[in-house]
Parts: sequence; structure tokens; C-alpha cells
Amino acid sequence: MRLPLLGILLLAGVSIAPLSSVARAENAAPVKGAEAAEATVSTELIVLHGTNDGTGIDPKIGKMPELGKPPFSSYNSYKLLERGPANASKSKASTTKLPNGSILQVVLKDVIEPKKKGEAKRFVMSASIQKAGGKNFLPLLEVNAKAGETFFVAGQNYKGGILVIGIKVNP
Amino acid sequence: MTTKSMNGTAHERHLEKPVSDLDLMLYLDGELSADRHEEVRQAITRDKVLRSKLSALEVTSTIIRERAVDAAANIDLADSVMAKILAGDAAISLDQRDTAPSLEQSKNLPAEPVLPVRLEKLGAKTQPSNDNARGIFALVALAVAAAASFMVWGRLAPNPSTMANEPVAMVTTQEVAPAKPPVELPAQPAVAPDAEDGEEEVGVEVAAVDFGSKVGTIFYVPTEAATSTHTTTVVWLTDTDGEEK
Repeated sequence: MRLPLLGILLLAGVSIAPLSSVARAENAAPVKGAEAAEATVSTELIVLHGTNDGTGIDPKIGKMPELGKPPFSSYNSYKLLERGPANASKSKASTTKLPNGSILQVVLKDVIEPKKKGEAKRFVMSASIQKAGGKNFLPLLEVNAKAGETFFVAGQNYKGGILVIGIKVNP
Repeated sequence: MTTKSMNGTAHERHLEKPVSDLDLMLYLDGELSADRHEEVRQAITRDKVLRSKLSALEVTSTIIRERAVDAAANIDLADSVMAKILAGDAAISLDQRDTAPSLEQSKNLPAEPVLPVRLEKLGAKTQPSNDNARGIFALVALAVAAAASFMVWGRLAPNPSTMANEPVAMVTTQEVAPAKPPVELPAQPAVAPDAEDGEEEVGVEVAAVDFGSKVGTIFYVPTEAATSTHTTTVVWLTDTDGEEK
């Protein structure tokens, strides 16, 4: 009689131990979800078409000296295709359809408060591009940018040239 | 009981009680009185049905006894360890040569190990009266163990409702991201301290990138004059899929 009872008690102990850790993990989840709904960042999206047709740089683009330097200098002409705002937040991704049918998604992942007084806070953002057929062109790009800074994603084939996408974090 | 025959001679005739299943079990366990044991033995010798029942009981008893021994052997190991711990029969002493702790068995221990004695007791056919009960409890313990295992397995399986509440931020593509490690990022050009205020100008930092099946490069392009340290980050991919229509 004593032996089966001991076995049952041991099994009960083994059964309860993992369940308690699962319960702790489930309780921790909602706190993280509440924080995620807060921050939003305003971005400006610029889409250029780079070609070698000799037309030069479109004046609508404005001052952008990088276009004359490598790797942009592999194309001698840039034309502005689109420019517009896009708001990204932790809870909702900014989705933009590009001229070639691809989908660009930008998500704000985190806001890093400055360590020193007077410094600007930094925004951790992720971007991905999915082609019209469902294939990934850029599965993931995660950057850490200050307000006013721009980063580019380039290389998609489009009408004999390439698409250049610039994402600027607005102040 | 005394009866008279037709010729008037009287003789004593002992009427046997019919042999029940309980009698057979007691007979098998050796728990009948000597007289009754003999009566049942004779009845078994005469009756084919009783012989069949007895052999079936023997087989059943053997199976239950074996299962009880197996289950008890597993439990007895932990039982004996716990008994040793509770009895405090192990003492730690330091070896004088290297001061490493060594485990000594107490001299008060019984000469025979605990486990073999209990197994002998469980397996003995001379005292089988308690084996049936042990077998039943062992089977119950096995059933409880199986139920507990299923319960734990069910709790640890992924919960579909929890999966649905995952943040949508990471659901950016339909393709599964490749399992290869993240691309090692090229070192960002060293940023010299600003001549005026002594602060570093750090451009956009690439924290992580996954090019998938594409070939990609990260460029840090100077934004202004050659003396400026500020750079613009450019992720350049080679599109090998051809042009989209």
C-alpha cells in the first residue's frame, strides 16, 4: 500500500512543477502588450528611380549629395517617383505599395531615451519589402535612427533601372 | 452424518461441500485447512472444470505477481535512498591526504542490502496472500502516472489562442525567414569627434539585417564634404529575380 502511494505522490510533484512555470510566463505577457501600444513615429518616404538614361538628377528630389557618390553613382540619373508621410507605431505597421507592386512595411519597434541630457532619442525601426508575387525581397532590416536621419534601401529592378527607397525619421 | 444402507448396515459418510471459486483461490494460496485442502485437491483431481479454473487462476496470479515485482522494484530504489537519508546513515569525512570529501558508509548498516530482501519477499510464493493487493495498487499507480503524463503533455502543447495574440509587428512576410545566422555587419567607419563640440556624429545604425536569398551590402555614404563625418546608411541588394511587371 505504501509503495503505490509514494509513486503517486512523486508523479504528482513532477506534474505540478512545469505547470507553475507555464503559469508565470502567461502572466508576464499582458504587461509587455500594454507598453507596445504607446509610441508612434512619423516618417517621410521617398521613392526614386535610378537609371542611366542621362537625364540627371530630378530637381524635385532636392539636396541629396549622396546620389553623386558610390554606390548611387552607378546610375547617372534619378527621378522622384513618390514622396509622402507614413506613420509607424509599435502596434501598427506602416504599409506602402511601391511602384513595382512590392509592399514596404515599416514598424517602430522601440524608442530609446537618451542617456545624457540634451541628446536626441533614437528610434529602433524595422523595414521589410515583399514582392508582388509573395516573395521576400528584403526579409528584415532593423535600424537605430535619430530624428532627421535618412536610410536607404535600393536595388529592386524597375523599368530598366532600380528603385531607391529613402525613409526619413521626422522630428 | 450417519446413513443406513439397504441391507441395514450403517456407516458414516462424509458429505463434501461443493468447491467454490473462493475455495480454489484459497487452495492456490495455501490458506485452506488441511482437511479442506485435501477435499479440494481430490475434487480437482476428479473434476476437469475445476482443473481448468485452477490453471486460469494460476496464470492470473503469476501475471499480477510479476507486475507487482516490477513496479515495486522501481519504487523501492527511491524508497531505500530516502530511508538512508532519513536514517542519516551516510557521513562525510575529509580525507587527510587531499582534504577531499569522501563518503563513508555507516557501520550500523545491516549486512544485507535493502532491495534484494524486499524483492525476495515480493516474489516468494510461500506468502502470496498480499501479492494480489500489491498488484492492484501497482496497476492503479501506473494508470495515474499515464493520466498525469497526458495532462502535462496537453498543458505544454502550444495554445492557438495565445498564438493569435502575438504582436503583428513581426508578421511582415509570408515566407519563413531563413535559419542562417544574421549577416555580420561591416564595421562602420570610425567617427571622429566633432571639432567644435567634441561630440560624435553617429548616423543610422543597422542593428540587424536579413538579406534572405539576395546578395546585399551596407554602405555608409558621406553626406556632405569629405571632411564631414556624418554618413547616410544605404542597404543595397542585388535583385536577381528580374523586373516586376
